[in-house]
Amino acid sequence: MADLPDVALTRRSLLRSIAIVGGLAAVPALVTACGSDGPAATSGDAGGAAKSLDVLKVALPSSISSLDASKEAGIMNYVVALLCQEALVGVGQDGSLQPALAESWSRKDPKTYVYKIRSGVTFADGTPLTADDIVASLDLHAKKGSTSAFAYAYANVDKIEAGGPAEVTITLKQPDASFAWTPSPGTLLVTSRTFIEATGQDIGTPTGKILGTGPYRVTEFAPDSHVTLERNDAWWGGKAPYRQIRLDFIPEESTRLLAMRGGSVDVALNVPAEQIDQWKAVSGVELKTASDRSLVTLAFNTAKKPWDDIHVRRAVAHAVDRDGIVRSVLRGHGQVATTVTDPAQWGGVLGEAEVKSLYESIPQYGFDLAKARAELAQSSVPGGFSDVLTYPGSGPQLGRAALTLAQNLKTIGITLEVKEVPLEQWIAELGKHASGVYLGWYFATTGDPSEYIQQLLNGAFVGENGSNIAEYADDEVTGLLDQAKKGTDEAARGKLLGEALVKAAADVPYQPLWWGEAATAFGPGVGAADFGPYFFVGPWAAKLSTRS
Amino acid sequence: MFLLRRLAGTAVVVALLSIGVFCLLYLAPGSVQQTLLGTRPATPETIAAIQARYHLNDPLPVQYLSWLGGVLRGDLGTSIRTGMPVADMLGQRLPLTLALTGYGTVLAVLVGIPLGVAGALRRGRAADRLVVTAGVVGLSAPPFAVGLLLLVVFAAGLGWFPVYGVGEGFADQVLHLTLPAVALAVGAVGMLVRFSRAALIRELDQDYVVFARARGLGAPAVLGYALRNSLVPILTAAGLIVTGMLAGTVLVEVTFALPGLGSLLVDSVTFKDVPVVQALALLLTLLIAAVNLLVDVGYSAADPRVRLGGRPS
Repeated sequence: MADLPDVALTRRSLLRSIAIVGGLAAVPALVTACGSDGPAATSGDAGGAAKSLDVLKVALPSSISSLDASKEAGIMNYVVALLCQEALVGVGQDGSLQPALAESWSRKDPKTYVYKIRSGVTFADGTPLTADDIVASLDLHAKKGSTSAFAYAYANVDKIEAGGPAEVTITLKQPDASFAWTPSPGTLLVTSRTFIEATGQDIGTPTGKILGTGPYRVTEFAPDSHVTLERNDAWWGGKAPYRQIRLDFIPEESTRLLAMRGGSVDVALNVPAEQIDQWKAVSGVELKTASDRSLVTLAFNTAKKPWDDIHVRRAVAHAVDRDGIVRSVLRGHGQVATTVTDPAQWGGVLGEAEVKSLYESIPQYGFDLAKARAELAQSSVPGGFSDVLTYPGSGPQLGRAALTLAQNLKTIGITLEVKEVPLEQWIAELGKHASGVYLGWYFATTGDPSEYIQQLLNGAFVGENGSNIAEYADDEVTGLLDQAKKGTDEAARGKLLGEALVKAAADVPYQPLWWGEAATAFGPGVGAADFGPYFFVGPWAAKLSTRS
Repeated sequence: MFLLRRLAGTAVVVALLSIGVFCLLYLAPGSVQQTLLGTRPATPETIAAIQARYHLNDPLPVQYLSWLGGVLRGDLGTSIRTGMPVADMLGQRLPLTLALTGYGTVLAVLVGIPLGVAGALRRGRAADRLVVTAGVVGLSAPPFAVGLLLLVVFAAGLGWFPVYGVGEGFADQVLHLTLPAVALAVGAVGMLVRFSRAALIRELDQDYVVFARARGLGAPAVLGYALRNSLVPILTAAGLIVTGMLAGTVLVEVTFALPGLGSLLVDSVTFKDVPVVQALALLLTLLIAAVNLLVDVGYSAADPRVRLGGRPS
């Protein structure tokens, strides 16, 4: 009975609702039409070649909290900061030290470094660079009570003095050959004394920003959104190709891929290995991979049971299928690590042939479950044991590698529980030295071969918050490493470091897994000629060119 | 009177919450000085300097009271992670999250309620079944996955919308926020459809509807009465939707690379950036309290039998 009016009602209300929905759908379309000739240039559509040379749009995989790399020393902080700030010395494409803000330098005696400052360099605000600015920048990290993340590199510094307007002398407490790398971009970014005094605690924040002598200066910083850079036409190195660079933080991998496909991004950093094929399929996109100078290694806590037993460490080392991990987990985008230092890091210290023969003499524990079983049988825990291995959430590849290891270990009677934890927790656990086994994941700050060797193997760095997470304290190895620090002759230093590596490998405090690679995608129209491991260690955008 | 009671209640909740969040962050794994320094070597001097600077070695009650003292003086403190004043950080991000939540809610209401009404009116028929099924699908689709799907279809495929970011100028910002707002609204539409359909069906079965029809009242007028009487459950659902969306922004902000409160909360919690997390907890509690207050005021407007703070009716 009441059916008829109901039907009418339904139809009308349905129509009304459809009209509303339709209206909603139409609104954005109208907006598109209006917006396209408006301010869409900064975040808009695929631009032509001429337009994109004006603005370079870069997608970074994670946001940065501070522009100041000494407050937050992540890879992405350097990628941004090194476009604006420079160091006394730079790093060449072959991994050797190159003149930058210092025209030349010398090691007067084992404890004294003298830097001659380049003349005619100005900061992005127009003020000239003086030796006093360099001293102020060094003091940020070297002075007592510094909270800078770079402070560790300056712990050995005794005095920093300006010898006239164009010379800086650094005196060390103890001789240290690897100090030559300290004033490179990994642990020094030069800014002006006036800026430090005027900006104070605000350095690196969206209001304080950063000041440097590089090819670009920061005009806007919005955390979790973007950084905008404007070209510094007065840069001493010449004129960079792009007028403006906009670096967008796009954490979601699929969104980044879609942005590149849609042409709203020109360069994308750290493309994940499992997505590489999809990126390659985007027309006009060129994918370049190079070593990112990172190391992933298993670390066995030699001060904790049962890992203090060398047979246990050998058993686990034998159970790691490194070739398999690089092939399947990294899809070939990495290199099996036969020791902690990448062979490419010996430039200027050891010749190619010497490096080769050194690496051949380092004892290896290849994948062999039979040997693993035999070693475990000889150990203090022949029946096996169980432990926990954690990895940071930001490194899913570490987790997958750990799972393959756990699988192998199960067959010889060891239960390894693999657990994902937030990056912050993983870092804290590495510092505590309380676990039995770790996955270490490091990015080199310098190009010096001794960096990982000293940090991971020198007995001086054991104990809480020390970098020697295996608690490996062998007097002979530590002696060799201390001697290497004192030496002034590079070849002799290389030999000492090599001896230490060979000696330590026999004790298996670490089982290095792989040296990482990073893939960078360059969109249509953007070319990077000499792309390599050190491409982003320096004013990288100045090296880009147009590609047809 | 009613307002005062509500404010007092909210204040108690905020106070308890701030103590709870403070303690939980303190207990959470990880340490601020380690996070600041990363996996690099650290000298004991640097660690001591950082601990002194951020008062990390003070006893927990002292840390809490010094934070509370600052807040009572109107100073939310400085973020450890970014070095920025917390008030500035929230001020920069709040408008985006509010706009996103507001836009999403408007979309959800404009789509969800008409669909729910349509379903109720055509109860049991094909159209109704379609609406109900769509509602269930919407309700169970995670906003994150919906966001990606929308990106693939409307941004990459059809090119109607930008893929990510906030945009500049009002029109451009609306355009940038549309896909994220739709992603948020999809789940809310499902919920609104179910609530409004169920509420209206119940009202349409009431005697007064039959009576009104028998008296020959026009269909729109009858629907008007029924709708007004089903407003209370719909308002409840709307309140839940707004608060749910505030939480849902976390994932959507990541998908669309938007700098809102959600991404700030995630970064700050994992970093143990206490001043920011505390301020965010405070802000979100107040926002949710405000939404609930609005819903309660809405009840009394929709149904005179509901009296604010009065005797039970």
